[in-house]
Amino acid sequence: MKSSNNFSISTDEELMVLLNKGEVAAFDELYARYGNRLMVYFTRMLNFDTILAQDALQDLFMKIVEAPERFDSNRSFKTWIFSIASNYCKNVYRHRNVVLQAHEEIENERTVNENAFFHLANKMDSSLFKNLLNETLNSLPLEKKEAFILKYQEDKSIAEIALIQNCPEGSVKSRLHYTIKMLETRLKIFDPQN
Amino acid sequence: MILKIKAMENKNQLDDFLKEKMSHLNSGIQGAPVSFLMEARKKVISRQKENEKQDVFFSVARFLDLKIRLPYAAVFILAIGAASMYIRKENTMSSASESSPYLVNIESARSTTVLSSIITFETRH
Repeated sequence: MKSSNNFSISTDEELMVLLNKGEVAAFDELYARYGNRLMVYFTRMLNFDTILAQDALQDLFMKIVEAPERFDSNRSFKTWIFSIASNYCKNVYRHRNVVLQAHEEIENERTVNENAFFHLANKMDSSLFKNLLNETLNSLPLEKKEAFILKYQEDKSIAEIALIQNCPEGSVKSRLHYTIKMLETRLKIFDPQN
Repeated sequence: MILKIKAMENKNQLDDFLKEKMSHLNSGIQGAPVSFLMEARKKVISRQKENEKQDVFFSVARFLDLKIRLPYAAVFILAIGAASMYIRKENTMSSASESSPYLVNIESARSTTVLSSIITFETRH
């Protein structure tokens, strides 16, 4: 979906004000900005169930057009929309039990050897690494998976993730660390020196 | 210090690598659906209509707020009050003159300053 020229320079927050007044082009612009990235977010969060992800995206945008006045213009739109998406996923997990309850236990104390991790991952075939990444994400509990997606897909800061997940920044850091360690553990299978 | 910088470099390298792999642009995941967009747009347009209705209401309210000032309102209320009192007085006078002599007697007896025993006059008749 292409963005409309009229509003392409407006901020998300300005677009929400216009949307509240019934400006269709403002809605189109917001959908052009966030439609695809939220689709990817939902798909990854909901264990690659595309139908479920589409429903989630549709639901989210319909909620926005039905009650745009719920958005507080003093807040960041980006944080707000991902908070709604996050809550949506939590509800889906609660009701459909999407997440795999059992996940691998890893040693919490051990630190990640970033250098070795990077070199091994970089050497791997790209699609093979992506599969490994997706499998690892699927096996993670919701909050760890979400922290990782927000950090590396959405390029969000620790503080922003903490706001979206409604938890202390320390928890976000440990969630990210956990995921990297799990990836590193799984990557070792592909290490020829192992 | 050198080790710390090296570790930082490794961390940044790893961060960039993971960001590239996780980017939504080359995720290969299906794009956002467009099937519901017409419905969503209709809802946005309906908001516009609601706002227009509200605008008419508020413009009328604004007009009234500008034109009706307290002194004008006070003068208007006083004029209405005086007019209604005048009309009531007129009505009572005309109804008194139109009533029977019996009622006129009772009315005049009530309005005089004679002793209260005069009430016997009223009851006897």
